Amino acid sequence: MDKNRTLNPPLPESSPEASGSAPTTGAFPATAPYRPSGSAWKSALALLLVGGTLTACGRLGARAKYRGPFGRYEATHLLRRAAARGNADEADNLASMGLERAVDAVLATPDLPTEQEPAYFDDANYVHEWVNHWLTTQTPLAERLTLFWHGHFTTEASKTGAWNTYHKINKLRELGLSSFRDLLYMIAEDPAMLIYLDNDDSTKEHPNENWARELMELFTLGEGHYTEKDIQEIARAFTGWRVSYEDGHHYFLFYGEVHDFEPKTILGQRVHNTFNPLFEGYEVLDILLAKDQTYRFIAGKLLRYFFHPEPTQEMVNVGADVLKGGTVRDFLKWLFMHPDFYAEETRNALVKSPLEYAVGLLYAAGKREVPMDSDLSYWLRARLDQDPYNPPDVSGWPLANTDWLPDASLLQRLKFIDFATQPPDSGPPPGPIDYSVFMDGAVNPLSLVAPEAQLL
Amino acid sequence: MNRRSFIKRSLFTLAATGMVPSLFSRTALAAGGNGKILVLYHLFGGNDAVNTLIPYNQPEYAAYRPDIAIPAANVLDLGAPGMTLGLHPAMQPMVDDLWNNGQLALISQVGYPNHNRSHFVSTAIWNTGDPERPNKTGWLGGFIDEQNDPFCATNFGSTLPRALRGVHTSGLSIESISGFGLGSSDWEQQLQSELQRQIQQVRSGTAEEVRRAMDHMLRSVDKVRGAQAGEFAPATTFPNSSYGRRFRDIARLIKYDFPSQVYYASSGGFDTHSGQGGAQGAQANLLAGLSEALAAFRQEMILQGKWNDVMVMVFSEFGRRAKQNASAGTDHGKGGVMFVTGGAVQGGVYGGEPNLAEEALDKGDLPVKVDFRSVYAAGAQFIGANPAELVGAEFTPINLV
Repeated sequence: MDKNRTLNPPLPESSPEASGSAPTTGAFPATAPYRPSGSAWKSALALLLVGGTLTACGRLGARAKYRGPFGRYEATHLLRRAAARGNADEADNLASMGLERAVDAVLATPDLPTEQEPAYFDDANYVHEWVNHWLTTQTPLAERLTLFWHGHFTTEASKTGAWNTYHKINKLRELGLSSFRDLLYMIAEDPAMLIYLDNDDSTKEHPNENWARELMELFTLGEGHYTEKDIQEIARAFTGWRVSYEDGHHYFLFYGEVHDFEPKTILGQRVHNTFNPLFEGYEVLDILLAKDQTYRFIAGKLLRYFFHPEPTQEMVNVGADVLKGGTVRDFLKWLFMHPDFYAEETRNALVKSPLEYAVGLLYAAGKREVPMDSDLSYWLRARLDQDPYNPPDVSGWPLANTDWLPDASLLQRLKFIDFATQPPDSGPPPGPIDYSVFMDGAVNPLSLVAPEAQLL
Repeated sequence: MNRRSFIKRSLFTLAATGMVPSLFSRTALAAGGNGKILVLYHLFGGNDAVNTLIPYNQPEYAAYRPDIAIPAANVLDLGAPGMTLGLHPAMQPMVDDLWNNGQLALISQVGYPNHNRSHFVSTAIWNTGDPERPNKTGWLGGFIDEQNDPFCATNFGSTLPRALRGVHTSGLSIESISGFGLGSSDWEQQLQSELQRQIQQVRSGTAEEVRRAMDHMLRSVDKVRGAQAGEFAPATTFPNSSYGRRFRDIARLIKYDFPSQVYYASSGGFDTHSGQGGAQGAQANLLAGLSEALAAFRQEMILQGKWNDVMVMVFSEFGRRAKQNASAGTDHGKGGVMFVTGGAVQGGVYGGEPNLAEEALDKGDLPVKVDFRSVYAAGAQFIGANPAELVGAEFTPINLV
């Protein structure tokens, strides 16, 4: 595909200080994580850093910045990764800002869509609603990130109702760039989650363990970092966390009558709040939020979604540090300015999910609004195999890897090219027709059968 | 792992040419298979074994499950010697057609040691056949590698289960037969020839993985074209349910001598933490759908003259707690129940009647008495594979045939 590129990839600048001691293991050849500015002690520090002998390695490594050229070619990669949609003009605009301002622009405070009424969700309109917002928003990164959090903190509308899911997604969009603490606190009180994982039914006599298990296995620590006893204790601590229903809306409420007031021990820590038993749930969240493993688990997933299917342990550790000490925005800023993010091995290393594939292709074809009566919802849910309101199960969707591409879905992705690129009945599409951000080197719909069209 | 319900609609012209359906070459046979067929069906979510194969005469049964116990009068007693066990009333078709013909083996209290209650870890263990290393390739991977033919195993669904992943070769995965192909429109013809050109260019990294996936897909399309070309009007009416459609598609590929010796499919909905229901309700509907589809599949296989060459194994990643929870549901447990059927299968209850007495339970769960790998071993033996190589020599095949 290289010969089809309209632009030549610039070579990343190499650092003479680093090249001599670059580690040879890991997913990538090491690029210079730190650039000394001339003083001797800094040069010495850089060498030590690359050797990985400083305990402060993570903290300093977090400052590693890409110093190579930032033109249309690099901005295209940034735009595709961050937003999963774009065109050459937008890439040029980002390039003209320079790297840091471009990254700040990409990470701008999310645009929130106009609130819809419950009646809107009667007939799977939610697919169109999300796609149309993604096609028109000024902050498309927020959409890709919201899809990540919605797949991480999974709920299924088939169990909780589309209306609850819509509200959950809106909250994830609003908080997606905040701290992981903000997100976890929000999701623990979210009515869709309380219903989905059955905490709404949990009582002192019969604590339901579904939420307690997934809170640790899927949302914070990952499998293998807790015991069955911890699950039972957490379930007891969250008894009474329920939902109420008023005027067509679900709300979080604490119902003390079903709460288990006995002391609990969670991951070796005692939780017992007789003054305000509601707070036992928050105390559990704080225990999980104090664990480094939580940030390693989340950073690993974010890296597999925004960076590479197999991030090195070092990237995960540094990313976990950034995330623990800051916000998701800080994490993504660190990543989008990291030298490895612009390495050739990183480019096109991820697989688009069906929603990203559909939005990116519609946008490249100049579409900015999909009519409500179109077949898009059916295409996404039944053929391309991603119903955005109904992840396949509680573990969410594949993370940007080839698990998205069994024979049947791959075939439908190719068939979808025709649907997405047909001009609208009403005349020319509102946006420019430009496939170059959707796929490096693409010139027309037929060129999108190349494997690269599936990649981010 | 797929609990999505799909609306099926065929918009694309199939490459139907009106030809007499050409028979597929039996590549599996050529590579040493014996022509027998193993169908694996995963009930995702953890089917509640206690309300499926019911020890209804034990006093604990009703006491443990005040909201969801099935009244003894409704339970379909099996008359198994020395046991007071019955099937869920929704499973009448399985009793009539399978059990009463001596062709239904019920494997009670099945599982593995050091049980894991995570759906995903446990499913991975059932699919790899190895509780120690749930990340390796599938338990049938060795068979598929040896056959060296991706068509020797077919999954119906959108995600290829780990069971069918080998080191070098993996099984085929299709959502439905009718929608699987590229049409004859000018655009799809152009697309196909450009695709052929693109997949000649070897790439690196993820792009190369996608290129290989495309190559695999194109070869699968070619293979399935034969089954599409033929009219399939089974004399049997399959129920219009996810189970019915899956078993109908499996029957269709078998009819056209598709070279698969293994078929795999799954249905979800069994994670009944709340509102499980008793004689009627959520679990009842699922078990009814499965039973009707299995009865129809048996009927169709008999008509095709293949019933003696087929073994169906239905499994779930775990059973559920003996006692219900506050939500009139059940939480994740240990010992589960498997169904094995086929013309050559010796019906009966294997693994014994579960004892619900508190002290007989494993921390509130049915204990595991039968290792699932000894059941898999019987399946491996049936299709002419070496059980010791697939699941380990320590697991002697259960005598099911």
